[in-house]
Amino acid sequence: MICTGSDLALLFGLGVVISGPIWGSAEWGVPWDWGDLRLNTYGLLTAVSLFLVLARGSQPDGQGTRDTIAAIGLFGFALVPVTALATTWYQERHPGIVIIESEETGLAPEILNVLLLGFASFLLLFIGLAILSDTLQRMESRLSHLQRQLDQEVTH
Amino acid sequence: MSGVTELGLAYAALIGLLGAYVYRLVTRLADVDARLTAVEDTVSAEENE
Repeated sequence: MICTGSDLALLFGLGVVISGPIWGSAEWGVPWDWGDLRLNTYGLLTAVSLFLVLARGSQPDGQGTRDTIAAIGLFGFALVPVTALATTWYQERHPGIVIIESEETGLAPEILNVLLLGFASFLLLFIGLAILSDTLQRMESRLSHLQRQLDQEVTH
Repeated sequence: MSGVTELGLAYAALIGLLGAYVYRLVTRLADVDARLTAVEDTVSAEENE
């Protein structure tokens, strides 16, 4: 689960961190704003998923490695609501929540439809990739188990 | 560069990233599947002996 989760968090995080500044430089005139809480907590969240992916691939599997990865993963988990509520607490570049209808906020119906279509598309993509990635992890785990079994038979 | 060009670049970067990940995932799936089949055949052949 942590393998699939961290891989997809890095993929979608990089998608935002790479495409966001290109859009930001066109719309805001600056690619990144170090004073914006949403931007920086999201960047940190992507860095956490990068750490999880790199640590999993480069460190030997042991109790110490698992504890470290779990601790950093929990930090990332705690960071998610902070990122989600960042624009409610502190508005610098990003506006507050705009999809809730009120006197000051709200979206035109055609923009809301595009937003919902985009959300549904990315949700489907995420579910599909999660299933594929999870299948791959299970197959790799079974392959590793069978290879160990073969090695033991050869040595005995 | 106009805003639309930059937006196009942002989408191209996003689609390229997703495409590269999907390509890598499918390639690894095919590779691991072939290796798993070979190992399973070897294990079942040894069990039959």
